[in-house]
Amino acid sequence: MTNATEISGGDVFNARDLAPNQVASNFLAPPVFEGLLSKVNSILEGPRGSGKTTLLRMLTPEAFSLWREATPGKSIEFIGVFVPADVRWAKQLTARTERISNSVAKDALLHAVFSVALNLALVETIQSCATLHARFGEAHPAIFFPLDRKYEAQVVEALSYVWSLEVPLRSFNGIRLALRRRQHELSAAAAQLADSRPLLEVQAELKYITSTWLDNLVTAVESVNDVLNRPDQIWAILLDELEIVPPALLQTIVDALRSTSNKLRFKLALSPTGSDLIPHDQPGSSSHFEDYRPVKLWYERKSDARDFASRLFASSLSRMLGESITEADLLQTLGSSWARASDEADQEYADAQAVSVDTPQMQRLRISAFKILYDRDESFRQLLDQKGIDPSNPSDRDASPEGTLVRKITQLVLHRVQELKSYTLAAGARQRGGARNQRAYLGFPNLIDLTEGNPRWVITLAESVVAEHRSKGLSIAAQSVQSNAVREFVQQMVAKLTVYPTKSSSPGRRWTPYDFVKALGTSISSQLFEGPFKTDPAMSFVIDQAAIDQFGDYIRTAIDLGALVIMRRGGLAPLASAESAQTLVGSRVRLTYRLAPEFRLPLLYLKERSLSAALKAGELLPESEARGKNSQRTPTESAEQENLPIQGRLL
Amino acid sequence: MTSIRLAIASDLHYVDPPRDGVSLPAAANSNPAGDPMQGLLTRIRKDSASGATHEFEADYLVCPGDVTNQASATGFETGWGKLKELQAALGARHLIATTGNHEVHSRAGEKDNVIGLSTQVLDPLAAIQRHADYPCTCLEDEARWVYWGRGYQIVEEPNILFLVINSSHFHPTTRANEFERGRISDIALESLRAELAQRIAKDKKRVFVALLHHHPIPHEAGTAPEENIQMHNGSQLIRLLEDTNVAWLVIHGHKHEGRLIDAQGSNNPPTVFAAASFGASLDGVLATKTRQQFYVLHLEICDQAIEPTAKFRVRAWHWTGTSWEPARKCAEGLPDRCGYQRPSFQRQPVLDALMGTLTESESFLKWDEAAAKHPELGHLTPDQIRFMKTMMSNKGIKTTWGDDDWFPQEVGV
Repeated sequence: MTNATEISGGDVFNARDLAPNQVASNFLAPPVFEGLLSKVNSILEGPRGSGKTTLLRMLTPEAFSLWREATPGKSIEFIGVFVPADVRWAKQLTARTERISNSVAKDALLHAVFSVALNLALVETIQSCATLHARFGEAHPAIFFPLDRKYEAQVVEALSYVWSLEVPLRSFNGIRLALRRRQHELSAAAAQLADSRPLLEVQAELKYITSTWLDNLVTAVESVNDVLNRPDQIWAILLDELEIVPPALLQTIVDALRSTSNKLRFKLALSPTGSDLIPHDQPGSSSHFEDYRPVKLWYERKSDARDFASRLFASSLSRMLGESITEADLLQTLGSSWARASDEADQEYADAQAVSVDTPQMQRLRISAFKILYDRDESFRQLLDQKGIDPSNPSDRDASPEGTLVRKITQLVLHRVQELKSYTLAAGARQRGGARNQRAYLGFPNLIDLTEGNPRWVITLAESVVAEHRSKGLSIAAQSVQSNAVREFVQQMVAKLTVYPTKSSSPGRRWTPYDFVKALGTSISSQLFEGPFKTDPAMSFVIDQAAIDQFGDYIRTAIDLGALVIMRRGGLAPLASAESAQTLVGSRVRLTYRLAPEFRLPLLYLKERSLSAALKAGELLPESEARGKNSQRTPTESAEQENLPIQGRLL
Repeated sequence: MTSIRLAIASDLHYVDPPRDGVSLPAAANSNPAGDPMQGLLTRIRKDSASGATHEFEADYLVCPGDVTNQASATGFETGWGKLKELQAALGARHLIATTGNHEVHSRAGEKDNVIGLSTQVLDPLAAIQRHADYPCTCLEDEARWVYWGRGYQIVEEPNILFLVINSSHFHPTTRANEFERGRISDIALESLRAELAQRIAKDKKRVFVALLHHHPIPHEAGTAPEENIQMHNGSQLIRLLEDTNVAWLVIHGHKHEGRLIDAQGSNNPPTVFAAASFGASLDGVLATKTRQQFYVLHLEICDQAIEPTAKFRVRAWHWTGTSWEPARKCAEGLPDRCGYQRPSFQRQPVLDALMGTLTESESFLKWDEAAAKHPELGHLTPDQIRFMKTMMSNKGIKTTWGDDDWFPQEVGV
């Protein structure tokens, strides 16, 4: 979605810091985008890199209009006011308020600081709509308006009145300066409140602290509409990364979804586990679908992700290579995958239709794999003999149970052949040594499927492929090019999971998110490659209470980073506190396909099992054993162990 | 012709190139992407191709010295070549330079006895004197050797007289600490007095510019203590220029810090324009006060038959590390759109007029708009600009003034 020159590789692209023309220049609209153009409140949920910030930025007047110039279509029904809530901002907010012991005073200050951030964003947007009216006003009269100096002064006068702001000059620059001065005043006020100065005294000096951010915003947009003589103008507040906003403030933002002002809408962006911060079933609280529409930015099924991912991948290659490449060209450009891994839904379709989607080459590959595994693997031999399936002719074209079974287990066979030297019931598995080739993940569509349709991942992988192509001087379809690119793509995620900070789930336990994910991956690979052949291994997980109790933080982190993909939510939970991951209980998740090469897994998810059982099987030590290990240390060693940073020590 | 444009690029400091590399200004830190000269040339060509407003045009390109760094011969070859390239890009008639202390190999040490370098040590001016067009592309050979002989030369061009002084004239000398300062000799001053009187009398409807490397008046910047030593006979030079009874613009470099002030003197003190460096590496205190800068001065040609008169506007850009941008903040050096006027003007009537304009308009004016309506506002020196904020406030003129901005963004009532 942006120029390759702006990406230095390694998932560093973030739309937050780009200018509107940069965000819009290569924007590829995912299927959900059209729905965001309506006046409905929306909550965008997605892991890192899923495009939340880009989508919100694209709802701002300038970016949207630039994009529409190149891509005609439906117009937007509101003026989007983007308010970034990045880590810096949240940290400043926290830093200013954390020493304030009086909760009423703290809330008052939170409201005031957030209000100023909103006000600045609103002023910025109004100015932009006026400045760009000459260029875009004719095409988008609903979101751009003319504003001469006289009206600018009137708008500023109206805003400074409702916000109790003293401006040096009735201009946008003037009101911006005044709002920045207010930020300094609030810093000073925070310090005074932290020193136990009474709130009433501070409020007497800074009267604006008595009003809430929502009141300030509602009166502001209504006043601006009056001045502009646009009584029906709707303003949408676009708030990003809300999971890092202090909980007390987040509550008020969510409550605003039930705001009675018909001039305001909200489009909020959260991580997938951030939505559990939204209380349900509480009197007066916002409710799903009545007050907002949830917009999911991840895909459970590969086929759903593939279309968008292919278009974005092709567009990225085009831009980086300076050639015209469409999604229809990807099969030729990347070469064909050795076999297509169908997930459950695709499998059901294929079963129903008794259709094989494989090419002759894939069929030859299947036959070869069946024969090899039949010879090497006693358990597999028994299975085929029992089912009456001829390994030299494992037909997948009929609707019989045998045909259905062959289709289902083909991927498992292909992967097991890669891993296994032999398997006997007496001696168990003997695995092959040496490095594995990445054939299972190369070519079209499997290479694309690794990205899960996550825009940032798509661009990152495309970048890696092009970089390898250029450094090696080989075709993009070359296995070594794609293989190295995949390796780098996987390692970037591994590195991120290794260093990402989490709280420990219980005292004495010090794992990285990667350790956690690795345990899950190992639980699958051990089923696939260490035991007898299974036709339906558990390759997805249901989050159980025990897992939440012990590993809640790791689960949330893994979901938010995209390492775990939610396939089915658990039931709605009663009122949740900001510290709990309760709503995840009962949810079905799977490992991201991006990590499949790390654990040598097929791009499937199949059956589910409980997460805590999987973690035990994956050798993430149970609590009792961890405690036992700790008790063997001397008191000094234990103390030293406790003082070590959480990350960087692997069991 | 009613005005003359002078482009000023001072203290380029082209360094010795690394092995297999090219010589670049010190500010580039051996990285071609950070080369201010290439950045400027690219910008000029881009603006020219797109038909953008021709901010980067000049009648003369002036360089007050230190083209090279530590007497690097390669540095000088490259720097002088680049200056001529810049001259062509600006459409300037001539390139007029003077000699800086870094042009002269004045501090020979043991390492200079290495075979190959001894020639340079024996002839500290060889690297620059071999250029027939140095220090000025408009000087004939004989006139050029006069410059080397007596330490100054006068260049008369249509509507402008340049006094080019070699303040590094005595640097190739046996006196160990001569390099610490500039100098113009007593004899040269005597000769100059007589010659200037004669030449100026011919035509007073011209611009008069003195060009030298070292600061003729005290100028303490955040540089090494020895670099704060005032030029020998600097005050005598200033007095001499004052006595000519025409307005002089004295342009110098060396300090790497931009400044625009009147010299000492009660009747007709010369205006001293200290140019910030174009390509030197800045560190310490200096790095907090200024950036590398490039200027274009628009000087009006005034008839000075009766009294000294001068009026000019300054366009000033600073180097961000990757591009040239107008200098709008105090930390970026001399302000873009400052200027000068002599006789000086009373600011109160100007502010009164501005108040009138603002009262008539219904809201506010951007500063550029205000300056267009009241041209005197384009002739404020940096010190006058500093006092402007207080004066406007006293007058009841409201302003929006960003942090560290030289000028207000907007003015209103």
